Order: sequence, then C-alpha cells, then structure tokens
Amino acid sequence: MNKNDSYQSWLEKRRSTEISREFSKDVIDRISLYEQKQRETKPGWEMARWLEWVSLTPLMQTALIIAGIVVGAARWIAALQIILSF
Amino acid sequence: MNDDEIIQRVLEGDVNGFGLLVEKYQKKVVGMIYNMTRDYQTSEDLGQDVFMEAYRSLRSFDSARSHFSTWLYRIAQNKTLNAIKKKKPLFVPDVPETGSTRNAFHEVAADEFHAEFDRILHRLPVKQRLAFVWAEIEQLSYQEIAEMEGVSLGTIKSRISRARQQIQDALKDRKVIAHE
Repeated sequence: MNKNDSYQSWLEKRRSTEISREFSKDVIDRISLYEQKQRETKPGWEMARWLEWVSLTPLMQTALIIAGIVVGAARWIAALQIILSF
Repeated sequence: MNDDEIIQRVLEGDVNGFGLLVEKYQKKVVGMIYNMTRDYQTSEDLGQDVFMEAYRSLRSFDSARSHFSTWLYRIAQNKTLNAIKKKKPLFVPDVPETGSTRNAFHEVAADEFHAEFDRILHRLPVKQRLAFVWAEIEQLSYQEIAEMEGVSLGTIKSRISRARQQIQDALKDRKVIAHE
C-alpha cells in the first residue's frame, strides 16, 4: 500500500465516524425537557394552563356558565329582598 | 422539505421537526468534533450541546444571511474550540503500541500510517487543523469554511495549504527516521 492509498484510506476512516443510534432522540428529549422548563418558569403559566384546560372542556364551560347564572340570580334575589324589606 | 421550511415548522412549535435537522447534520457535526478532539464521548456530548444551542437560538437565525448548515457548523466550531481550550491535555490522539514496525501485512502497515496521520494532524495549529478537517475530512467547500470562520477565502486556502505542507513534511521526516 503506497502513501497515497494510505492517506485515502485514512480519510475514509475519519469520515466514517460512528454516532450512537440514540443521538437524535437524546437531542429531542433534551429539547422537550428544555421546553417544559421554559413553560413552567414563565409567569402566569399555571393560570394559562388552567384557562387552556377550561377552554378545551365543553362540559366545564357549560358548568361555569350555569354557575355564573345561579350566582348572579342569587345576588339579584338577595338585593330585591333587601329593597323590598324597607 | 428544505431547511427553511423545517425551521419554520419548528418555530411554530413542532419540536420533533427539529429532529429532521439533527438527523441531517449530526454526522458532520459529531464527525468534525471527533476529528478535532479524538474523544468519542466528548464528541457526542458536545454534539448534543451544539444542537441544543442551535434550537435555543433558532429565532436569531437569518436565512438571508447564511445557510442553516453554515450557521450550525459555526456553533459546532466555537463549542469545539472552547472545549479544546479548556480541556487541552485530555485530548490525546490514539497512539499505536511502540515497537510495532512496518511488516508485510497491509493492515498493520495501514494502521501504522493512520496512527501517524492522526498524530501529525493533532500536532497542527488548531486553526489549520480545523480548516483541514472541514475541507478534507468533512468535505466542506472553501467558501463555506471561510463564511463560517468569518475570514477571506484566501486565508482558508492558505491554512489548508500550510496544513498539507506540514503533513507532507512530517511524513518525509518519518521516512528518514524509519530508514535510520
């Protein structure tokens, strides 16, 4: 084997660096973890998450509307009772 | 799907889209780091750091100014050079057992040459070594390397030419020693 062949085979060897199969998965896992931490450390994240959950749940939306009507009606009734008592 | 389209997807919140970029460039990034450091674990760890850094800075990437690959390789290069500065004594190229002389078996002869090339490469000044690794091993164009380094094309040509010359000189010296 002459020097040029050796050089070419060395280049080929250097070009064929092995990478673990998990490499890209590990990177994506790290990114996901980073994203999760970013979300958690943002102010108001808990509230935003709660609102997101509420807005995504039709049953919860209906329940909140009914609760709002009931509380509102109760207040009006209480106010009328006070006015009528004079 | 080209790089810009993938980047757009990632910026819209598709983290997994970034996996496509990792798959596409991991070999060159990790390969370059490995050929600069000769430390397998370091090359994978640093490689991950490179992609993390790229992800975090993705919004600052301007496709009108450079290709994504050039931008990514620049991150890889900076991280590698920093790591080499910090951990210089730890990066030792593979050295074959002393006393093994060239014999009739081609494989042994090739291994000897490979180890010799490795040693010579790692004796080069770091900028020459980097330019040589990008150009000869990772097969990047001179123009791409110049953009990455932020230097002129002539500077890169000169670095690679000097690196080649030093390798040739070192091999000549080796021949002289071998015949002594």
